[in-house]
Amino acid sequence: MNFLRRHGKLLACVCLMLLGILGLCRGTLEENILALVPNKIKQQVALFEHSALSQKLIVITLASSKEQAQETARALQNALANAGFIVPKKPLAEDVVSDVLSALPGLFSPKIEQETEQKISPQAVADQFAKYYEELFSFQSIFTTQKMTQDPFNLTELLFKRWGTIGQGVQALNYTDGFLSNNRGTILAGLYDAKSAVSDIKAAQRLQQFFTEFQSSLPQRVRTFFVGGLRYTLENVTLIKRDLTTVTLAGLICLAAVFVCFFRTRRALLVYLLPLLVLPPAAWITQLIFGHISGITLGFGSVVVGLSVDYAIYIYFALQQTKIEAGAAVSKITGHLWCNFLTSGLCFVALLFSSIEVFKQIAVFALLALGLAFFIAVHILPPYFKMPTSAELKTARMEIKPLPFKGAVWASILLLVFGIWGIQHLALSSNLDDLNSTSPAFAKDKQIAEELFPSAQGALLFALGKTQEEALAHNEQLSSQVPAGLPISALFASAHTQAQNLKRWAAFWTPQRQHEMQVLLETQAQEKGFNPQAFTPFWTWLQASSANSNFDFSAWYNPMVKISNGLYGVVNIVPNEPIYARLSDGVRAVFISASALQTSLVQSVKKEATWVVCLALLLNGAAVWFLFRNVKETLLCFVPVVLGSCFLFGCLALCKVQVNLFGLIFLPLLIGLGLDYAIFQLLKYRSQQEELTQLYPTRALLAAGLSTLAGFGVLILAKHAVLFMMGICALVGIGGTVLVSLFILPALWKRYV
Amino acid sequence: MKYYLSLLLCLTFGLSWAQPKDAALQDYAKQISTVQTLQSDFTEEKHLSLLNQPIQSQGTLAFNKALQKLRWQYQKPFENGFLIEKDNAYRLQGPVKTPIASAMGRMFIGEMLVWLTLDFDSLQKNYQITHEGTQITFVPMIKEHKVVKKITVWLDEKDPRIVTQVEMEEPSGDFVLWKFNNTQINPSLPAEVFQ
Repeated sequence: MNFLRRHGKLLACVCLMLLGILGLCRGTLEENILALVPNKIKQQVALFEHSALSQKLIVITLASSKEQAQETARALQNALANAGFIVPKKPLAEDVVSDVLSALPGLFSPKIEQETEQKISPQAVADQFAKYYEELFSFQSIFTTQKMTQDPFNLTELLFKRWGTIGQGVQALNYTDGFLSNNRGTILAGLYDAKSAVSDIKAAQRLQQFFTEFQSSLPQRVRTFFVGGLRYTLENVTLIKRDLTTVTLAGLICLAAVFVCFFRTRRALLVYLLPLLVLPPAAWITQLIFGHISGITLGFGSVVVGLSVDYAIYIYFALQQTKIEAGAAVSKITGHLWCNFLTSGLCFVALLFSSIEVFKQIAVFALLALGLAFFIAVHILPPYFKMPTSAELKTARMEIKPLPFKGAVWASILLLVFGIWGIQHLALSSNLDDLNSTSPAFAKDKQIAEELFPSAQGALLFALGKTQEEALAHNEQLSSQVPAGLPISALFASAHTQAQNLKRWAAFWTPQRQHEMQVLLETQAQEKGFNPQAFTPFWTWLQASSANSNFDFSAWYNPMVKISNGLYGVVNIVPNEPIYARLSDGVRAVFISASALQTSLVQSVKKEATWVVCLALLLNGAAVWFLFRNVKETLLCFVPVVLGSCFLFGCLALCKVQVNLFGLIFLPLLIGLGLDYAIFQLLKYRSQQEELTQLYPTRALLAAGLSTLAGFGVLILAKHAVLFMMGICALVGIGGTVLVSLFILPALWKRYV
Repeated sequence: MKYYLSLLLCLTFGLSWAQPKDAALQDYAKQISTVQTLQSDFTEEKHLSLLNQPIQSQGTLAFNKALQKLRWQYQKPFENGFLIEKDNAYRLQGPVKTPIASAMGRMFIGEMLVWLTLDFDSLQKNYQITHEGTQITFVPMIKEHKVVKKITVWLDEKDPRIVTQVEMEEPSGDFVLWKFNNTQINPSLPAEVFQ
């Protein structure tokens, strides 16, 4: 009972931690690029992600010869189908011509009607037969003999011509024998519908295992791999998990080093127990609130480790180095911790106003963790930090001499100039891939795959609708506004249009016209020595053709996508030209080009960052003024923030670091941390006047700063571009802030306060 | 139909036959494998239900095994043909040479190259092979094959390296007959032949 009374609160915290771990294990780790972009461009990115190809499983085969590539790609296709990974492809009909011909009545638009009129004119038929006749004496007759009997007027050319214009103006696809291929035919891509959802990590892992086994059965120079949504899922989760392991281990090692340097006592171990107590429940609650948790949010846990441990460090040193009574010391230092909590917390509150989902997750996670850490540090840990003897007290003291006033001013000016130069030369990366967590191996694979697809110079035009029929009808409407039309609309007609086309077809092929054409055909056939009876299959089909259209081009390529908000979209691959961009109304028709999307992304993230930083500055400014009620002190508190930021920008520009957009999240954090250190120094300065300086030993600030760096800066080891960016900003930004707080700020206090 | 030329070429030029079990076939395979270059005139007769009368065309062919080059040239009644240079194929229309880029064309070339590199073991997997003297018959293993019903190859009795005649019969009853004459085995072929 006595044990429970003494350690009950701590045990409750441990229980909460275990509960959090259990909860987290049952939840899902989700990586979605949509969570990383502002609301304003979320729809565009979502649509871009829904391009017809993105939902496909793209299987690449590389071989040293065309034959080997074909053979392997076929074997792989069969193996994937047998293993249940892909929806088996409907084999391309032996009789492609009759298939395409059967689609013609349903696609018999006024334009195609007009072209058909021309094709069946006596001169056109004579020319066609002359061509057919000559072909019989060439190797092409292999392909055309059967076609001649099925389609003597060569009507299928009207649809093949349109099929060939899909993606025109972007880059011609090289499609050979069921696979996309490079010019030499040694790289082949098979496009399949995966049976599992693209976000299914277990399916992605099984598929990876399948490919590893399949690869082992291949000759040395043959390689197969897959790209597409499932590979992204696999890459994201694998990389984040690996990063989390690396970062956690490295963080622990660095924290151990800080411990050895500054603590070296058993009771101080509790300082580092604090983050372990607060992180799992905070992450679990965040997961409950959002329904899932991002790997980036968890990765941010290392930042929270660094921040939360500060509270315990300040309490620990205050109790270790002060001569006043423990209760009074805790009470005194609690005010300081409140200030810290307030400034850090307000930065995260500012992040809550961002429209980027991961920022909100991070804000909630950090606020929960810091709140809990504050509570535990102030109310639970103090009894465990045993007071040292006076001998220990003496040896533990350490002071750092700040710069003289002139030196501090010159250093400040230099840092300001460095910062301004840095901002002017900062390299911002707007590449969406920078937000994805993928390995260098994947980047290489993706580059190989991209050789086979239309380049990023093209654009996508989405015609949206609540139903597939509505989307198709809308696409037809858009097509009518472009002089050349949209090839997709000519090959994928809405049911309403198909019905009209069938009527048009029936009206066109009147018995009289059929008779006239039969006579014309027989005349031409006789002239060239063809047997008129050979064309019977065409006339038989024509008489039955008005009933319906048996073939749908979606068997070859499906441009219809289902979008997450319940809408359907027809995807048109179009050139990146104003004539297509003008069709976009942003609601029912959306035009997206990779270049425009990147521009929008940069603009909206910059806007978001500016808004969040301004809000953080405003809230923190108000909070600091409220705490100290002194304009000079308030302004001086922002010195580490400003100069630390300058140092960061200057170093990033100097080292030519490509700053991805997520690096901007670090700015509000820098404000919070910079303020924390400034407040520490201010309170230390004030306490000198009250002779309570032992409450704020320099060792505490150093230990806190280095702990934060250890937790935060190890992110530099992460492979994920976002986590890496946070790491490098932490290492340089926090490092700069700590140095400014230690060496420049004290000189300014003395002069101005 | 798409198989016939490639099969024909394979048989004519005897590229890389593996050793069949039949002793006579083994002997033919061995002899044919010595063919490095070849030049011949040919007559092609098509008996198609599409036409009232059979049609006939004439031309020449040249082949270089080491360079993987083949020229199949029709001369009468129309001047056309095709040229294969390793992985590339071209359509010949009079003096004009254009790359074959269409899916069907590439498929044809693909098939052609598959046949050019096919060994006799593979051939035995797909065809039932019988022979009476120098007349060899290939019947597809697949019942109701949509393209080929039977292919018959006649080798020269005196010199089995030379194919004298090939007939390909389709399931529809249509058939094509090639007759080769003036065949030269391993002649010196100047580069211009394949230009």
